[in-house]
Amino acid sequence: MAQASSALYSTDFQHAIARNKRNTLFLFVVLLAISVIIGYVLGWGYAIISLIWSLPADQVQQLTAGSVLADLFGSPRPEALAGAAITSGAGLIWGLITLSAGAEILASFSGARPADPNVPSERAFINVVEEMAIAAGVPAPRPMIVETPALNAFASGSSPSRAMITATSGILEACTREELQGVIGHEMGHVADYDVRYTTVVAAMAGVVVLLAHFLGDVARWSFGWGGYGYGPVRRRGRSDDGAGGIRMALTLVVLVLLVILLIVAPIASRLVQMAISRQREYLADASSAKLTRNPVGLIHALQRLERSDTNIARKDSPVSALCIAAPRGSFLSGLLSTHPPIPERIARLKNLGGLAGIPGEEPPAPLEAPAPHRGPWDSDGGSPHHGPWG
Amino acid sequence: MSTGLYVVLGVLVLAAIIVIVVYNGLVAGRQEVRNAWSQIDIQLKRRHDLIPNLVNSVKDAMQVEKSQLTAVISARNQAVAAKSPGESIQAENALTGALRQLFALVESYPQLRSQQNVSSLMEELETTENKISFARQHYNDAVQAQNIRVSSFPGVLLASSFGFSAETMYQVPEAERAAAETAPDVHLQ
Repeated sequence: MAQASSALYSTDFQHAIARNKRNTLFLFVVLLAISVIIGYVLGWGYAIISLIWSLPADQVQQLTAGSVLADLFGSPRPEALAGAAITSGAGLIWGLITLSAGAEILASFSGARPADPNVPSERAFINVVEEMAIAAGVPAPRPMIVETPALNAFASGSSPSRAMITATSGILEACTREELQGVIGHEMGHVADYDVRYTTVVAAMAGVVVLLAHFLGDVARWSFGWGGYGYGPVRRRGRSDDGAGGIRMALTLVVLVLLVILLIVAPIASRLVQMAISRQREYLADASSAKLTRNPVGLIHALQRLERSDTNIARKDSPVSALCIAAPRGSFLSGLLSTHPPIPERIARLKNLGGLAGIPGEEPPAPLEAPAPHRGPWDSDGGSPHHGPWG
Repeated sequence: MSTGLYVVLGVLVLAAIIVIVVYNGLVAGRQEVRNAWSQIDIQLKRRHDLIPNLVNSVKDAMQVEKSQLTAVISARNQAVAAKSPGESIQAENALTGALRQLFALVESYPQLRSQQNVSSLMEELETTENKISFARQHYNDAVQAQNIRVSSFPGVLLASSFGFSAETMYQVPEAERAAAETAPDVHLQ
C-alpha cells in the first residue's frame, strides 16, 4: 500500500473547494434565471388569456397564434414582470434559507434523525464519522440515520461545520467497519471540498423549480376551467358567446401549450444542470475516500455490496437522490439522466487509483455472518488483507 | 500624473496583494499543522483515559493473561509519564503494540466480548486507535501541504524572511512498521 498511498496525496481539496464555490454561484444564478422565466411566462400567460377573453369579437378575429406568441417577446406586460419578481424573490429567499438550513431541510425531506450513541451499530457509525473528520481535518458533521433496509448514505449542509452525514440503518447493518469507513470517507470528501454546499443548494433549488412547475400546471388547469374550479377567466367570459368563442378557445390553447411545454422543460433543465457537474464529483469523492482511509478496498467492497442491493432511500425523483453515494435505481430516466456514474466504472477507477488493478473485477465482498458490529482492524476473519489504517 | 506613474502604482499594489495572499496562506498552513498536532495529543490522552477502564473490566475474566494486562498498564503509565517528544513517541508506539496484543487476546474470550460494557469499551478504544492514526496521517498531510507552500514559488521567496520553515513529518519508526506488516504475536493456551 505504500506506493498507492503516495499516489493518493494528489487529491487537492483547495482547488476543489474554490471550484465548488464558483459552481454553486453559477448554479444558483442559472436556477434563479429558470424561476424568473417561469414567473415571467406565467404572469404573461395570465395576462394574455384574460386579454383574449375581454377583447371585442372583431379585434379577436384579427389575432393569430403567431401574433399572440410574439406578444411574449414584445414590451413586457405588468403581470409578467410581477410574476418574474415574485418567483425571483421567492427563489432568492429560498436560496438563502438553503444556505443557512439546507441540511435540516433535506433531513426533514428524508425523515432522518440523529444517530443514537447507545445503539452499538450507531455508536460505531458516529465513531467512524469522527475518524474520517479527523483524517480530513474538518469539524465532525452530525451523524444522522434514516430507518430503512435500503443501503445508502449522503452528506448535506452548506459548510463543513453545518454538515450532516446521513446513513441508512440498512447500510450500518450490512457493511463491515472497513467498508463503512470507505463509504463515510466518500461522504467526508463531499463535505471537505464543499461539494455539500453545491449539492444541498441544487437539491433544495431544484425542488423549488419542480414545485413551480406543479404550480404552473395548477394555474393552467384553473384558467382553462378544468379541475372543477369552473370560475377561471376562460369559463367566466366564455358564457356570453359573441361569435368569436372558437377563436378565443384556440388562442387560449396555444398559450396553454406553451405553458405546458415550459412545465415539462423546466424540471428537465434544472435536472440537466444538476447532473452536469455531479458525475465528475462522485469520482472525486471516491478518490477523497481513498485518500482519507488510505485503503480503497473498503470502498470497493462497499460499492460492490451497493450494486447488488436495494438503494432506494426515498422517492426516485426525490431531490435527495442526487446526494446519495449510489443513485436510487429504477427511474425510467435513470440511465440517461443519472447524477451518478455507473458503479463498475467507479470501482475500476478506484482500483486504478490504489494500484489494485490485479484484483479480479467481479470479486464479491466476503459475505457477512450475523450482524457483526465490531469488525475492525483487529479482526482475523475478514476477507481482505488490508485491515484498517495499520494495514 | 503620467501614465507611467499609474503603471508603477498598479504594479506595486499588485505586488502587495500577492505578498498578503502568500503570507496569509503560510500562516493558515502553519496553524493547520499545529491544530493537527494537538489533535494527536487529544486522542492519545483519550487512549490513556480509556485503558484503565478496559483493564478493570476484563481483569477478572482474564486472570491467565495477567502478564499482558500488566504490560499494557505499564506501557500506558510510561506513555503518560513521558517528558520529551521523542520519549513520548517511543512510549506511545510501545503502547500501541501492547494494546494490539491485548485486543487479539480479548478476541479469544467470546463471553467477554458479549458483555455490554466490554464491547462498548472495545469500540471506544478501537475508534481511538483509528483516530490516533488518522490524526497522524492528517498531521503529515498538513505538513506536506505546508512544505510545498514553503518550498515552491512564490512562497519560497517570502517564507524565510517571514520566519516560515519546513515542518517535520511524523515518522513511523522502522520497528513499528515491521510489526505492522507481520501478525501480532499472540500466545494462546
